[in-house]
Amino acid sequence: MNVNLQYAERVYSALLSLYPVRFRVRFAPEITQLFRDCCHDALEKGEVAVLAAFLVSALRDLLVSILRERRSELMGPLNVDHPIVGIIDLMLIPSIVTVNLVVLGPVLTLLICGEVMPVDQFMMTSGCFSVAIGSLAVVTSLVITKLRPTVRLWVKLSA
Amino acid sequence: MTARKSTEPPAGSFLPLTPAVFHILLTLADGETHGYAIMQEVARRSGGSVKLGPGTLYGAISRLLEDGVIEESDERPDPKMDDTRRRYYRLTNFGGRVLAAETERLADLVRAARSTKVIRKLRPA
Repeated sequence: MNVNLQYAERVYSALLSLYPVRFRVRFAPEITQLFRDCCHDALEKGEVAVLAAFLVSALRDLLVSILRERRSELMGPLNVDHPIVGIIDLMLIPSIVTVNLVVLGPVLTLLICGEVMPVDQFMMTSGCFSVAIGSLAVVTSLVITKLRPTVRLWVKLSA
Repeated sequence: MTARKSTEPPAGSFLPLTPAVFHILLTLADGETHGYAIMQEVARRSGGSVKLGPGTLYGAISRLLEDGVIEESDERPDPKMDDTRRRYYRLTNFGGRVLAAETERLADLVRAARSTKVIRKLRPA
């Protein structure tokens, strides 16, 4: 095999490792084989330009495809029946409220005001920050709740 | 071809298909084949307007397998003539219905377009 082609194949195979694991395990050997076949086709046509054009298009195709597979992995259906999802669901709001009151409010007060203040004033400011963060959390959870039926439908359709 | 379980979604829920997927299914409608042959046949069939790279082709194959539109075939048309490392794919019954539904949809679109005055004027004599 042409040394340059061997090198190109090695680089291409290395780039395949950017695919999500499941996709890579299943399809990487076939993709590599197809890449090899196409390179041989291009070489048989006898023009370096044909091979170079194929290599450029294959690289572009690979990068676009990696992004697409990564995105579909990230946006893929959640397994809502998994027990861990139920626990997270149950603990989410109490955890946010606790962290908000005990940590975020006081820390934000210290960071923003940055000076020693009387305890009652500190508590008041910290409380205001906590309410603000809490409101944000409520809005976020409402958005999640609105999205959940869509996710469930998605899971059902793809099952 | 194998039948899918009765919970399969209606063929229409997969429409519209992308040109690449439509050409892949058309190629597989002619018989089971492997990735390299699919790539060449799609380029030939589309007159070069649809060129599938290896990544795009196997991304589409992955989704079609997941949806049960195509399936992997264990048979080899002629094992002596072929590389045994290649995997062959074929259309499922459900995939055939998806392809038929998309073809019907495209035919309806063409009919609707041809019925307009502008297109009738532009048609070659």
